[in-house]
Amino acid sequence: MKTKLCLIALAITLALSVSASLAGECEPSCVIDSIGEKVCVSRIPQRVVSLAPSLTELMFDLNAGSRLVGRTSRCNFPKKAKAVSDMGPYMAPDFEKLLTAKPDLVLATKNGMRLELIDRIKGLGIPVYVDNSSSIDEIQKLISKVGFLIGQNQNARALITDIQTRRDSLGQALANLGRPSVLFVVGINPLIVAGSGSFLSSLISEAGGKNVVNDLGIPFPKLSIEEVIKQDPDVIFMLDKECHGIECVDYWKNYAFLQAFRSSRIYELDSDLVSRPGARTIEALEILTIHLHSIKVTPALSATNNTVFKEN
Amino acid sequence: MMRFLPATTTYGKTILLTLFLSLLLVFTAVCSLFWGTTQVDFLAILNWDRSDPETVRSISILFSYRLPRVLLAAIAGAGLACSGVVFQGVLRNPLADPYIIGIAAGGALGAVISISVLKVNWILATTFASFVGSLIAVMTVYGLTFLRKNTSYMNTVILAGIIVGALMNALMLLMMSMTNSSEIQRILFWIMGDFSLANYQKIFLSAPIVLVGFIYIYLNASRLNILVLQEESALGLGVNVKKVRFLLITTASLITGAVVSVSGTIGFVGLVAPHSMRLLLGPDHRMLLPVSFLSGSIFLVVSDTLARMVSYPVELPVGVITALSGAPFFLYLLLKK
Repeated sequence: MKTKLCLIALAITLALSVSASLAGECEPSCVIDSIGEKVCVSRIPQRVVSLAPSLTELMFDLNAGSRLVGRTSRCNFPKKAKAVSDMGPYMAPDFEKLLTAKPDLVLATKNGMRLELIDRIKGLGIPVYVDNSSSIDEIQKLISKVGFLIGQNQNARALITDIQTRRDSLGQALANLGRPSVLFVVGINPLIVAGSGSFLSSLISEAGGKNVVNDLGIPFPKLSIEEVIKQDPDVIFMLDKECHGIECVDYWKNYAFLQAFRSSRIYELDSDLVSRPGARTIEALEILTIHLHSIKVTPALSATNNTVFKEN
Repeated sequence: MMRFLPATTTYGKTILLTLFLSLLLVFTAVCSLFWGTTQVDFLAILNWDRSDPETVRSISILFSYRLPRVLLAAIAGAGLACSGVVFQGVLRNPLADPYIIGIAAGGALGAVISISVLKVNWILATTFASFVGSLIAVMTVYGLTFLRKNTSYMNTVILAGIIVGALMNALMLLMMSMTNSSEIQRILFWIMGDFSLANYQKIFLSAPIVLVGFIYIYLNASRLNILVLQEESALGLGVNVKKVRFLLITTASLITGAVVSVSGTIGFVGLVAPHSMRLLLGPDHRMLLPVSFLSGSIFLVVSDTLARMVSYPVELPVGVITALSGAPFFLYLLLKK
């Protein structure tokens, strides 16, 4: 009788431990993040705090938005993100609120957080994934790694495949086209542009353009207008947080001889869409490609049916 | 140095120096206009052929970009140097600069509020907000000096200036900590001094104040000479000390406020130009005022040209150049004594 009870107890214990290991509580899953640090989680994170709008969007894209317990005040897409509790401004979240939310994974961007704060969070035993993606290749890696960390490998793979397909069709469309020269304005009064090495500049090259501001070593230099006149770019991009509609064109009216002005190729872009390295970047690329090459929208490109084209 | 001038009277020397410096200013300005990339084709401009795209480009660079910059730099430098002379004379402190009574702090606070809170894209909005900020700072300083009537005027003014400056700087830092990063960059360039936003409207707003203010101060140059003496001596010589001080400081503050509102808070011009001229020519304000006015002009035009050219195509803020030249100047003073 005792042996039977022991056997039953053993069986129950075995069953429990098997189910416990099925729940993922065994050895940690690790990835290396964008700043070369190892990020490990010992079980699938259920309470994730995102400290950057691009990473909030990523959580929703991977169908894991319900696991978000914190976001920054700048996280405004998708609309469901607004329901997640606000941890504070983008570069300075409220540390106490963050701890009260008891996260088991924190997502942050290198430019959006001071490394000292990140180290502090890590010191409390909370894993932090720091992203520093500056090209669409790196975004695909980001999706794959975060997808792995949060146990959404299938969704991540589907997303990456979708992005790759769209990239390939963009590549085909760009195959025999020339490279127009581009000036990407990120600030006016004073004039600040995206230089080579910045994320926005990589978007320009991927969309088949050539950034006129190169080899300066500064990601966002304050540029002399004489250089703009000298380079005379074919296309000028402006961000909608700096100017709206006709203001973007009027800004250049003292230099109406510029090619971009004369051929009406000054385009206003949605800052949120363009400057967040995430799954929506492929949409931004498609818009940039269409502006740069004025090509007709092909069936592959028209998969982006919720984009808004703002042309002057 | 005085011995080498061919004239003997102060008046004669002043005329000669003023002429010489005016020519030097014009020469510097013209050099600055024509120094740049090889974009400006001067022969093409002489032809004034509007249908030639090269000419149109050159005219645009010259008249829409470089000329307003040079003119504004000249006006700003002159204004800062001249009000520096006044503050150094009235406060009897050769190290006083025009920002000592909180004008820069007030102007900067006004600009920061305009950029971060009001977020208006009209360039002149920041100019007007900054001027209002400077006025509020000066009026607060005056208010505080009325509270302490029996003690030394200079100390009261300097102390009040420190109080107002500290308060406004604190408020400005508070606003900066609450804005987002793109506005911080814009604020930083404004504070460090930036002539890339120069336009003719700013010139028409600031030039009259600077010129008229300078003329008024120059007409009071002899009274300023007497003010440098002890208060009793000045009173004994028939100078209504309180009234003259008030009028001179108000004028100098208006000039400084106007300059700060169109060019940001550029340091060292109001200190280096008057101080160096005083070392060379002595403290007689009838000579010091016009000479500092012009040398401040030249100094800032040269600094702005360097700011534009040194790391082309990236533009440095002009305040960086003036600060880099100010430090060696004070080192020289330190070693000389």
